[in-house]
Amino acid sequence: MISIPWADLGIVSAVGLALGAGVVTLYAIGIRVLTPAADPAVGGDPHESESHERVAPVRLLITVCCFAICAAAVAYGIYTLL
Amino acid sequence: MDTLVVVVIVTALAFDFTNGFHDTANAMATSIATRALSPRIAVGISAVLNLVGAFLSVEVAKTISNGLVDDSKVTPAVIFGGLVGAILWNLVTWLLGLPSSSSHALFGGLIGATWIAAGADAVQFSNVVEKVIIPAIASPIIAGVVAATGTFLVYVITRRAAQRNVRSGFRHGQVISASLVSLAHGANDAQKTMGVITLVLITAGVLSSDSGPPIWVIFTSGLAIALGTYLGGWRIIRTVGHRLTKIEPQQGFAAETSAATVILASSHLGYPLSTTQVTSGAVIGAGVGKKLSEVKWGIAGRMAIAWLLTLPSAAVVGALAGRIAISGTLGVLLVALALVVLATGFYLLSRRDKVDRHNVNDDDIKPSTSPRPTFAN
Repeated sequence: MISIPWADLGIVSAVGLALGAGVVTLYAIGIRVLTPAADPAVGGDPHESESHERVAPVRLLITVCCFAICAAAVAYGIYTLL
Repeated sequence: MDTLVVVVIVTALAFDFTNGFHDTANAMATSIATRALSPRIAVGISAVLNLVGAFLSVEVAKTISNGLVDDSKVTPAVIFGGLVGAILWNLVTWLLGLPSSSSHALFGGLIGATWIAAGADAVQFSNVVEKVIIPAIASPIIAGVVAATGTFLVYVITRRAAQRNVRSGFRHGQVISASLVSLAHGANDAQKTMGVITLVLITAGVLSSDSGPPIWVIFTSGLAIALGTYLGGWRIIRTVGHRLTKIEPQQGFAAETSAATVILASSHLGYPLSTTQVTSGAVIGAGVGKKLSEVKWGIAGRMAIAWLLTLPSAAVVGALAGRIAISGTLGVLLVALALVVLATGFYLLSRRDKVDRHNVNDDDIKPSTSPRPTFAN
């Protein structure tokens, strides 16, 4: 008798989506907050735009928090291997 | 230890080696493609982390066949036949540059060899469907959806930011996510070989029935997979990193993070999925998440066909090798000789269109213009 483990697949999908997409989103927020907006007047091609603006402390703090949560997720991932 | 046991151990380590170089792409293809890491550094990091991963846990699967066959019918000759089937399938797919599951190849080989040695009753077909076929369909879809969602969100969040800074940030992130996949790969895949060798030692009476893997088994298994990883399956790295879709650092990070999360979550929940299928699905998902048309569906289709063929193809070769091997030591030595000859043949064929760390990132790799080797009469 073949039984399809729908529950297992559902849990893996839900956890994968919540954590996988969640970590990626947090990291992206961290990068976005750390990176000033592209200035089209200066940068020309937005894909090649670069900024060396000084980062405000609040933005740095938000970025550190985002990266810290991502780092904690990585550490937990390693812990699950043990 | 008799000749058969030694041959099976050496063959298991050879399988482990092919598993390593076949699966280097899983962790490092996107990092190499986006130049987050140089090819040599990427395979070096992956090799070290695979070796470390082998030592993280020795909770070897109680049954190396994962319940797909009746373990009481599994003998060293059957294991040998299964390993031969798995190695040859790994080499064929490597030559074609197709990522396919080494675990499924091993299971296929064992199923074929067990079937020929003990009959169809020794194969648990319902478990084959439940533990191999359904996960093979589900894993790339799950990983693909996760990676597509992550990629879409990344581009939405960072679209107004200075792109050079963004790409630089994601390149750094890629190193971490790819390293995590390497570690998980070492922890999961090296244990398969440990399990095989331990079972052979138990059946040969060298170890007691409740023994775990001795330290030399852990070390040699880790070393074999690390060495294979370091040599790098460049042909498969090229397929995953360049041919499936054009990868940017944002996509590479989303793909590897999604793959790592799905692999770790499924392992932790006791429903392990194929690393290869998860990472390949994640790379496709990363392409879909940015722009649907960027995925080369023809290559993805070839990959899917390879996945469908893995189990039956390895089973046929495993059955043939197992049939000869169970006839005695001479049969085992004949199969071993055939394996060496075929592996050498595949290696020589690969030299005609060489892909290595120097040209893995070239967009169009032309066949070598150097004259073919000639052999003296």
